[in-house]
Amino acid sequence: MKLLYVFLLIMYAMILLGGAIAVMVFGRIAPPGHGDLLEIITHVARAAVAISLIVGWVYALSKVKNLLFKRQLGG
Amino acid sequence: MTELIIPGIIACAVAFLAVYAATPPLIGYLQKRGITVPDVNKPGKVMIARPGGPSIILGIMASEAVLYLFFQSNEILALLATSGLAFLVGYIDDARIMGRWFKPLALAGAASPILLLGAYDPVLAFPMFGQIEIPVLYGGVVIFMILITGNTVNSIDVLNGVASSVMVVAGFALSASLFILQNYEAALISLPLGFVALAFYKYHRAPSRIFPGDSGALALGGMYGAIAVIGQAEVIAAIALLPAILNSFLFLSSVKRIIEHRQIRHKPVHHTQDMKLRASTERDAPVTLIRIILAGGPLSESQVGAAILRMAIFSGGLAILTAGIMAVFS
Repeated sequence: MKLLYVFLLIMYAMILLGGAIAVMVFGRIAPPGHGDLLEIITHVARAAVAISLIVGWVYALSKVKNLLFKRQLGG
Repeated sequence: MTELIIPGIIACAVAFLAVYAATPPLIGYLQKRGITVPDVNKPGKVMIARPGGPSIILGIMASEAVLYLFFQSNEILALLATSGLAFLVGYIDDARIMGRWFKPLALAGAASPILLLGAYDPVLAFPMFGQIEIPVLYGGVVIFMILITGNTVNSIDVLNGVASSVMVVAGFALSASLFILQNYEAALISLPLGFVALAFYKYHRAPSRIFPGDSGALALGGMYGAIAVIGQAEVIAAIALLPAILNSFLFLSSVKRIIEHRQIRHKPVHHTQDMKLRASTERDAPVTLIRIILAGGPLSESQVGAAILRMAIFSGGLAILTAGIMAVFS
């Protein structure tokens, strides 16, 4: 049962860390000039970063889960 | 802020009393018409009324309508419409067996009133590190939020009283967080959620007299997600709901696809002879929060429910702490 609380705390820490990364990365992705095309490219880049962050978050969490609950999962 | 107190008290009283008064006649009606399902965790064939969604949505609608009479805001309209649509999605799923993609897609549609009424600010606030403005991407965040909260609350509705008790804790933790962040209007419209869940818990706790069904769980989850978006507290809302999110994450990462619980071939939990719950030892059985709680040995249904409630209180505390940190750093 204690491991579940450890896992909750890891999830919490990863949310904070993910937020820090998102703020840092998104702050740097700004259109280099004016124009619709540059705006669209910026939005696409931000979407790609957002999806990558989510995929990375889920992947990292899966690894932590397998590590923590190896015995419970019959590994 | 003082002008919010009287509407707040009235709305909370209406939320609680509407569900408290409407649920017993609903139980009687459902039992009379044989709209019941077996409680698989009880000995013999105990039939329980389902769904309790109609009384839950009545409480939500009545209390938010009271608030709308006072404030006439688009945010309240969006909250009403999103909760109502989420309820309808669940009600259809309660009444007939739908495909596995129905709920996710229809729930995405339930987010549309928030987008259409512009009841959001396209800014995502993260604790300590600031916020990001994402005008185009935020539409996706709104849809994602309603989808996640609706489905996770639905997926934690597995034992007597669990979904409603988790929503009591998460709902009040979210309201407290919004007060700490000085977002008083959002805090006010969020308060009925906790009171609706609390009144329903009276009949849902073990031994249950009624189950919320998909309609009840999705109405609560849809409302929770809508409050998170309207109150700009998406991250805090996710933290308060961590046990339910953890359950969905464990399940999805073990089955690796969108699947309905009724489609599971190997059950994650079995019963001992004295009807305690024990974790499955089959490798192919999905991993769930309950299965991991039971890894230490069999427990009664009430003991597992209490363990999940303790986790919900822990996560609710983390959410309130995070709101405090955000208030300090802002």
